[in-house]
Amino acid sequence: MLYIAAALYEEAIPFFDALSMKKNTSFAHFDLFSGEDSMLLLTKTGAIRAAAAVSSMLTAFPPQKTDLFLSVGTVACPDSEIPVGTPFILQQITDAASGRTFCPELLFRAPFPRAALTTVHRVLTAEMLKSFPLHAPGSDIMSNTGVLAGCPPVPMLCDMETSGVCEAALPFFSCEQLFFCRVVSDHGIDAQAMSPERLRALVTECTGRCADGLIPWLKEISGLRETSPALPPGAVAFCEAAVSALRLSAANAEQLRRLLLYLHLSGVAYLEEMSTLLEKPLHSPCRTKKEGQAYLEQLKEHFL
Amino acid sequence: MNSSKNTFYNPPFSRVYIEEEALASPAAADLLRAAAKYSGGQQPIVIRRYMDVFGRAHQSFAVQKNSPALILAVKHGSFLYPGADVCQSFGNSHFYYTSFAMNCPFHCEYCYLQGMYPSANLVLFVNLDDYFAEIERLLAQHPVYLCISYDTDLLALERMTGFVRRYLEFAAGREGLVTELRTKSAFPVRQLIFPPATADGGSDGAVCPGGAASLSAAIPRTILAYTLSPESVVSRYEHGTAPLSARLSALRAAAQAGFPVRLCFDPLLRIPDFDRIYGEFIDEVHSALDDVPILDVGIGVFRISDSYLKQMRKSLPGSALLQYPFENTGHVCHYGARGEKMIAFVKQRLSGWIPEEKIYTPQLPEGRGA
Repeated sequence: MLYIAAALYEEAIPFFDALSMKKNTSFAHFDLFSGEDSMLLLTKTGAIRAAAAVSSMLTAFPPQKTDLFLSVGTVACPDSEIPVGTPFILQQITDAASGRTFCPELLFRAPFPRAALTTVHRVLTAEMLKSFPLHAPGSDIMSNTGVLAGCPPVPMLCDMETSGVCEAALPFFSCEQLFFCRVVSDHGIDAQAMSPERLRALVTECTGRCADGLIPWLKEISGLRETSPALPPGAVAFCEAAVSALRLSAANAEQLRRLLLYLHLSGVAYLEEMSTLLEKPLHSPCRTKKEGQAYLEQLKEHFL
Repeated sequence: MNSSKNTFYNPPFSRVYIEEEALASPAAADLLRAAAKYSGGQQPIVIRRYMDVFGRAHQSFAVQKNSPALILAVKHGSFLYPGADVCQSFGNSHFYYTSFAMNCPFHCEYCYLQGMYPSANLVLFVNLDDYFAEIERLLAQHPVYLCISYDTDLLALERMTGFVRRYLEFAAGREGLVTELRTKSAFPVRQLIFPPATADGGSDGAVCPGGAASLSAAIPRTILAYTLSPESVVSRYEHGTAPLSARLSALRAAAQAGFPVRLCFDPLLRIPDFDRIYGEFIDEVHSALDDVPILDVGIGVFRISDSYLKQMRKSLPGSALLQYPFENTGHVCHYGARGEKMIAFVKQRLSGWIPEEKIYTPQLPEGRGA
C-alpha cells in the first residue's frame, strides 16, 4: 500500500489520475481517496491539522512493513534563481516553532535533487522570505573553508505542513518507508499578483511534474520490500499438534516453534522425520509435562 | 543482495552528516575530502548531534546496511571502557577497549552491532586527540591493554580515515601501551608504514611526519588480530569482508612487517557438517601459516546477549543462523554443550601446531538455562 498525504486538493489532482483514485466515503473527518493499492489523504494547510489528519488515517488503516508513505506538496523557495516547478526530495525537515529537526532516510537513488525545508506557521510573502537563508545550514561554512568547494549548495524551502506530517507518520513507519517530496510553487506569495484560480492551476501543474517521476520510483522501491519469512502452514499445524500432544509449557512451545523455524530456514526437510520421532505421543498424548519435555530434548539432540 | 538492489540504493557513504561542533575540525575536513569520492559531490548535511540521525526511532539496521551513511561527530563522555566479560583479555590485565568509530563497513549476519546500535550508519569521531589524552591519563597509573577495533573494523576503513596511522604515531612513544587491532579485512599493513603516494602528492592515510621510523616503536606492541572463518562461512555470512585467502596473505605480510599476529577463530558457528568444514579450514590455515610466528589464538563460539539477539532476529528474520534455538543462561544465548564440543574440536585440531598455553577460550556461561 502506498499512503500519500497532500495538503490541498489541487496538489493531489495528478495523483488521483495516475493512481485511479476515488473518494473513500467510509472515512469521516478528513478527505480520503483510495486506489487499488494506494490511499491519498488531504490534510489541509497547517502543521497541526496535517498531523491530526495523518495520525487519524494511519490509526484507521495501520500500515504494514512493506508499505510506503509519501508526503507531497508545494513550497516556497527563498532562492529566486530556482525555477517554479522544480521538484526536490527532502534531506532535512525543521519545525521553526520548536526547532526540532528530522532527517529523512535517503537510502534510494532519488529522481530529484535534495533540499532542506523549514515548516512555518503562516503564509510567507516575498518580503518575509527574504529573512530565510537561501541554502541549507552549513553550506556556507563548507564552501568558506574550501572543503568540497564546487559542490552545489542545498536549497532551503519553506512550507506549512511537513513537520506535522513527519511527526505524525514517524511512529507508524520505519524511517526508510517515508518519503518527502516538495515542488517549488513560488518565491513568496503575492496575493495581488496572482488570482486564486491561477494559483490553484499552478499548484496542480507543479505536483503534476513530480508525480510522473515519483510513482514508478516508489513502485520499484515497494518491490524491494520483503516480508518476514514464516513457517509454512503444514509446519504450523504440526507445531500446534505437537505442543498439545507433548503438553509443552509456553517456553517449551516457543523452543519447538523456534526449532522448526530454524530447520525451515536452513532448508532441512524435517517434517517427515519429526513426525516419525513423535509418532507415539502424537497418537497417545503425554500424561505429564516432564514426559513431553523429554521428547523436545530428543528432537533438539537429533536435529541440532 | 541482488544486482538490481545494488543499483537502486545510493552507494554507501553517499550521504555525509556532520555535527555542527565537528565543522571546525581539521580532521573532519580531511574526512570530508576522503568521503567526497563516495558522496558524489553532494554537500554534507549539518546536524546538531550525531544521535539526531544515528539514534532516530524506527530505523531498520538490515535495510540501512544496503546504503549506510557516514556521520562525522565529536565524542563526549567516556573514551575508554573496561573490557567486557564475554571478550577475551588474552591474559592481559588492565584490559580496555575504545571506539573511534561506531559500526563497521562489513555486514556479518551474526554481528552483535545489529543488536547494539539502532542504526547501520557509520559514525566516525573526529577528536582522536581527546581519546589519546584519556589513554595518557590511564598510562600514568598503569600499563594498558587496549582493543581499538571492537565495534568497527578500523583497518577496513583506513583508506578513508587514516585513524590507524594516527593511532600508531601516538602509540609509538607509549611504552606501557599494548594494542589489539582486530580485522576481517585484507588491508596491506605495509601501507600503514609506507603510505602510497596519491595523484595530488599527498599520502593515502594521515600525515606521518616521521615516516616509518616514528611508527616502528609501536609495531611490536600492536597486535593484529585476524578473525578467520571457513570460506563457505565468509561468503555466506560475512558479507563484504575479505576472502579467507586474502586475509591469510595480509596476515603473513603483517607478520613480516614485524606486527605480532593473533588468530581469532571467533565466532565458531554451528553449521551443518561442522566437523568437516571447520576441520578442513583449520588444516588450510595451518598449511598457509605454518612458518609464520603466531602470538596466540582465540577460540570462541557464537554467543550473544538475549536482548541483542531479539533485535537481531527482528532485523534479519530470515537468518537461519540467528533463529537457532539457543540456550539462555544469565541472559546470554549460546550453543550450550554443543558449543563446548565445537571449541574442543578446534582446539584439538590446532594441537599439533599451536601450543596449548597460546590458546585462549572465553568464559562461557555456566549451567543450562531453559
